[in-house]
Amino acid sequence: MTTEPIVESGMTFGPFEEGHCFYIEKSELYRNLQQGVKMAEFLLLRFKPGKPTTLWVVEAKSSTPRPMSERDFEAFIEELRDKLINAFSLGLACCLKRHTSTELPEPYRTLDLSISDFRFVLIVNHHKWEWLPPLQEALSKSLHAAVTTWALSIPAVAVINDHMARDYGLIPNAPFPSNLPAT
Amino acid sequence: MLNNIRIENFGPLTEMVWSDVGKINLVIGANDSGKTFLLKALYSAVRTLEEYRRGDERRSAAEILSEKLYWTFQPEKIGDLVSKGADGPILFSMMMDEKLFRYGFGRDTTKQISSIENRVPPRNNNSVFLPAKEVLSLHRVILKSREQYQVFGFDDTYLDLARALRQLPNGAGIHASFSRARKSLEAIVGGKVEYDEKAERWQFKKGNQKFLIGVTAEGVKKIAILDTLLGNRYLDTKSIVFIDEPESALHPGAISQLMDVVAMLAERGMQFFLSSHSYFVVKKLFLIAQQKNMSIPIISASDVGWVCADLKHQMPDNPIINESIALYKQEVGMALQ
Repeated sequence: MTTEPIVESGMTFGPFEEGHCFYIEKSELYRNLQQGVKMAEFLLLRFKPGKPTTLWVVEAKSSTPRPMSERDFEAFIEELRDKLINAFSLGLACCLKRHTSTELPEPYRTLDLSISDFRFVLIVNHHKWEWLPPLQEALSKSLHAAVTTWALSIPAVAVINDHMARDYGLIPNAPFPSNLPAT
Repeated sequence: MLNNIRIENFGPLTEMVWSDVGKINLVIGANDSGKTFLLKALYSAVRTLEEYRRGDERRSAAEILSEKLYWTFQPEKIGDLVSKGADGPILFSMMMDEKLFRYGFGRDTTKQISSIENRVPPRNNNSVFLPAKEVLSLHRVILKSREQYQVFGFDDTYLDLARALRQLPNGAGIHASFSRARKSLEAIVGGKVEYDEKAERWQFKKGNQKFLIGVTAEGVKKIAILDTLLGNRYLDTKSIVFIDEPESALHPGAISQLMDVVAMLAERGMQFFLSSHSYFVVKKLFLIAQQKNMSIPIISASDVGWVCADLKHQMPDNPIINESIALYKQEVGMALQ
């Protein structure tokens, strides 16, 4: 659907190879869905030789609630879970042709869902290293039912910051030349 | 209350300065870095001040300290406590209630501590060292081994604790400041321990049921020991409590609850020195420092020596949090690589 970089939560993701990224949150398909369905940012296919194709469901956040606010934290995790599962479900529903949308990139249409793997990925911009492990634990716990019922290989959840997003190829390491002033 | 500490050439503590200690103080570091050693060094000094001139005690502070060091660290001669390879003598100094206590002795010292300065007035309070292992199961063995046979094995931290537990309530009732803390402690384990005078043994009482101490869980006994020392008034609001690895034998929920009780007692005036390897202890104390806007000094053994910080201001770089991050990164790597 897109080879353009995606700007979310103060981070710029991609660009990714044509057909690898489905910007589901900005899709016509999602716009046409009834209100009240929260959605993660985008889906991303990862191909590695000798490994099953993996579909990442990606959500980005600019911050998390203050650690001391337990109720806010639970609501935050609940919202993340809903967004990630909804994007996962909508992506699979498209792959299974339950929607008639033409937006789904070609590689998704030919995906063998029975052997593909899936990952739920949360990226929090500028998040402190020591705050990441508990967030990873909380989100993993919240997604446990989805991971087990879909028989996803574990660990299926990754909570990372912008620094790690660069390491894993979600954010480019250098700014785009087009952003540079003309000389 | 201890205000600051300086130690040189004392076993693994070649140089350690802790300037601003608080009501709750945390010592962290790798195995063999000297955490327990530090707590025992402080305990020996504090107990010396507490035994000095108590009742009919006639020994000088130097004599008490020498005995305390000998039976706490159990070396052949106390001069063996000087750091291996150190050029100078042991130098220990601390401020207790803004009054100086310091001493020093060299490698050749057998028993006599020649250099000692004590400006701390005699104390009527009792401090205690809670070792990582519980002592109730071994209570009689500890007392017999030390009081009857006077042999090495159980050091003075164990003997003093065994004696403290033997102290019966003096009839004055529970110290009012501690009633809430005791309720919390008893809620954690669901009961309390009692000494059966006739049978000469401890038992754990849960409701109307009584259980042999030998079949009572280790963690329950650890919590019950602190509860007992508050109940028999051995401890008071000026006591200093040294807890070596409070996390041992406790599940994470109980660790958090115990730290809440520690904070509760610290607010009543008691001072704590804890040594720990536990993520849960460090994290919970960090949260308590934020919630209560409370200074919780932390000293960490590192490659460059002892590094001081305060959990009220920051979570300092430390091996416990770093390992949790390393495990987390390993998990993310497994998911995304």
